[in-house]
Amino acid sequence: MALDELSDEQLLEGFQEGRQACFEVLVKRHEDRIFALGLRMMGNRADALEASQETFLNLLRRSGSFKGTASFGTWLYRVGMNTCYDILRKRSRLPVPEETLPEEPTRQTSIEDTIALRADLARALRSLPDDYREAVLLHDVGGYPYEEIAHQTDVPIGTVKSRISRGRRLLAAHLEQPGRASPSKPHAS
Amino acid sequence: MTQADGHDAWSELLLEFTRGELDRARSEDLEAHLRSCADCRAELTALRALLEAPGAKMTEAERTELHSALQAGHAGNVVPLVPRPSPERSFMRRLAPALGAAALLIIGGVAVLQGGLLGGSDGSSGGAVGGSGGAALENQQSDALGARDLGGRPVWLGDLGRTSLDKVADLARSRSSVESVRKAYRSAPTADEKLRKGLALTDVLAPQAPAALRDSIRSCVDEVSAQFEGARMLPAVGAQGRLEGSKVLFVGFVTSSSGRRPNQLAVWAFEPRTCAPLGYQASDLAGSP
Repeated sequence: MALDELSDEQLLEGFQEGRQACFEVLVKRHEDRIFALGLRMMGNRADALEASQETFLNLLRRSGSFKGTASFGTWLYRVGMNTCYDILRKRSRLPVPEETLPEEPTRQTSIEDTIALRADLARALRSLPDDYREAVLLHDVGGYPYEEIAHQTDVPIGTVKSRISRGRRLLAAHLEQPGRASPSKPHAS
Repeated sequence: MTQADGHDAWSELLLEFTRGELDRARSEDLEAHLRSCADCRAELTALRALLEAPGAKMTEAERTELHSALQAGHAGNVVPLVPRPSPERSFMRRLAPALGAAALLIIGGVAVLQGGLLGGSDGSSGGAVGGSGGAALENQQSDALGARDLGGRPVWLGDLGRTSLDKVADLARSRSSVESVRKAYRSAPTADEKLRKGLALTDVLAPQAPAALRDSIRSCVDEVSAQFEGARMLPAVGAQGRLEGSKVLFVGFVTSSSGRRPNQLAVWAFEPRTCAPLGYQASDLAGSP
């Protein structure tokens, strides 16, 4: 059977048994999704690329921690999210040169506006409580169904839906009035 | 669907609606609901911001950069680049096979008498040593390099049957051999000494394996050393087993991602006769200093 026809889980097993080609197929299969996640979390392409690299390197280092209780795709997506958090956390400890600070969104409808909007979206996402951000990204950006997210995050489906709904509203509030949306976590159902 | 169905039911349709995947009738119902529901309008705003972020796909240049970085990182994950060995060490390594061959000719006859020498450094090795000139040579080399004083005790795990790199790594980590080799790594003050210990530890590990695999173990360690010239890797465990139906030799090394602290276990699989590397897996050692 050709490698492309193998499931993610079969490829992972092949990689763990030493077949490098299996890893390469896994990367090609998931790189766009992980990059799209990184773009939203990090706010620019260079950082999204760095986050993608780190995510797959983490896969190399920690493939043994995949227990197969949920799909590999969901698991890798969460590795991607955690990798973004880690990069952002490390950077938050470093002084940021003034010229690298993201600019505030402008009113112009131009490519600059688009870039600024993405930076604003990344900031808004980072302002969400972790559980809400995770649920929103997994479902709305990653496209994973409620059931799988519930299984992966070990909470009832109702809680997943509630987190997504509330997470979106918090996100919208932050996008409309940056800095005014409450970062505190509302009571989850 | 009516307002009485509650916000959640409408909320669940918003993703399909934003993607344009909702049928016309339901879209019209949802649009009607949106006019009267501020919460759903807020959710829609967020969804549009999330989904309409432009340029979410990688360019070909970005894709190439990612693949190149992963290729480099893959190797780096196992054996990160560290300073090359000193010229003196390189010379010793080149000289070692010649010295070994000469020693084999001279002392082969008294090999059996010296077979128990390594048993003192590891109880499990005693039974495998002795009975051949090759074993005596191993003892001579180990003794010359001070293997008995290393504190590190590589262990042959035996024949594991059908297995995987993961399983070998798990088994290796559960053995004190990894920790003792790690201490040996840390105790070596210079890179040169680490390399000496690596060679000496190979000579402790090899005699524990079946006779047919002893030379292979040395060749495989050399293969890794040659592939990552200058890397410090101290062999900690060895085993044989089967991967996908083929016989495989495993060697697990204690190594360092920084060139200083021994914080990784890199398990390699080899084709036993040719010593061609079949794959490897690096994993963090818990409690790395």
